Amino acid sequence: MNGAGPIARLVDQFARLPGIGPKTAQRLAFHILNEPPETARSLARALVEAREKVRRCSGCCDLTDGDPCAICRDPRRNREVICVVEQPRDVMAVEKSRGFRGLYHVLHGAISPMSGVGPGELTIRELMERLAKDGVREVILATNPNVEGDATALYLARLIKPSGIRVTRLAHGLPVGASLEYADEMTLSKALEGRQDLG
Amino acid sequence: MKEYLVDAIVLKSVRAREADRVVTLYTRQMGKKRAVAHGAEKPASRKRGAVQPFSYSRLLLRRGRDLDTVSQGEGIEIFPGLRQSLEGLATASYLAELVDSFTPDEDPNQAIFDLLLDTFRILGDGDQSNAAWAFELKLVSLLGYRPGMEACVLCGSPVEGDRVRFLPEQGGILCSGCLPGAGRVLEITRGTLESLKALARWETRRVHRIKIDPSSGREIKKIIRRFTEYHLEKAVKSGRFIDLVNGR
Ligand SMILES: [Zn+2]
Ligand SMILES: [Zn+2]
Repeated sequence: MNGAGPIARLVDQFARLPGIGPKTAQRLAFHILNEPPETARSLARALVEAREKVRRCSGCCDLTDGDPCAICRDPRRNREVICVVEQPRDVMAVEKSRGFRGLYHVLHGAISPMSGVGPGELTIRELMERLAKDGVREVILATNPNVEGDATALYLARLIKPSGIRVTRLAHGLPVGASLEYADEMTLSKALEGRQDLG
Repeated sequence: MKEYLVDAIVLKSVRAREADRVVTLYTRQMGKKRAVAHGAEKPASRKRGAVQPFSYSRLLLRRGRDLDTVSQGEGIEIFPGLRQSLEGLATASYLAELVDSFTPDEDPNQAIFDLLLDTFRILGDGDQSNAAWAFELKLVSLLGYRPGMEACVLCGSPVEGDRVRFLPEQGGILCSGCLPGAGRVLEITRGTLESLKALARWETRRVHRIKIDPSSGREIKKIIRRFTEYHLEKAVKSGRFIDLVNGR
């Protein structure tokens, strides 16, 4: 196989995706090449379409195809409470619990000093701008209960506290080190009930 | 021997496939070691707590083709003081990154292990700079880069005066005779030099008591950071966050 040919390029593109090793990348590439050309065309279309239509919500920074997103647009949601999460998938997890009727803010990561991810790499500036103007009374910090999530929550608590807004943190029900996306609905709704003031 | 026990301080934990984590350990028995903890992010995982960063745990490792895997784990100490404060977490990240960057794989060093353990035990709320600086000075000394602070590192003559010149690239202080053409020196006060010596010498659990004024603190930070990064040949990534948290 030519190292610079189209097959190698395809394998290489797959291998760049998270969680995909060289073997899996090869399997995916040959799968596509064994299917009719339409499979490749519709995959390519879906990729390009998703990438071009999906953007960050100007309100909560969640990924959305309409701006503002459905949750930020919904008049029945409580605008005085913001639940801060690390990832878009965490919004889905909390929504599934049906324990929360406020708005969200997606940080797109967590502070990880050793990986060089600081507050500047997250949507913290956007959050602070929202808090400065939107009449928010409570911020629930729902970052993951691990070192990165805790550092992020402690940092945000320190930043937000002087404004007088109540800051709470998901407390009970979530085992240390677990990721939000693996928690069941019951665990999450308990965690929301048991949130505590921070700092 | 397919399985073996280690006493380990978890330096780092990086998310891998699915709910797996790749952990970097500093172990008492074999120095730095990387291993995979399968399923460590699932709420039901029994070893999850033991592989959290900055935990001191006893782990049962199983030899694998590529990385060894964590079969079982039991926490020994979790250092709650360090976990509940921003300064504690920022400092622990910084120290863990230093150990990870400075030490080679599977090269046991009991003194480094004990230094890390002792320092994690004292980390808590408020400014943790003394603990971090003392750790950093002791770590580079244990690795063979002890900074020369008693006499000129080039000619051995005594260094006099209120202002002292420190050259990280030469590993310590210089006398005025050796100064010309020596390179980019950092000028510090004699008081700062004495603080540096105390930080390097005092027992870890007592370093909080060394009184250091803010201007000496700035000099110490600059010297130690440059010294470390010179020997590391790269920047310490966690340095940015610890500086932000400490307002330096
Ligand atoms: Zn939105
Ligand atoms: Zn000299």
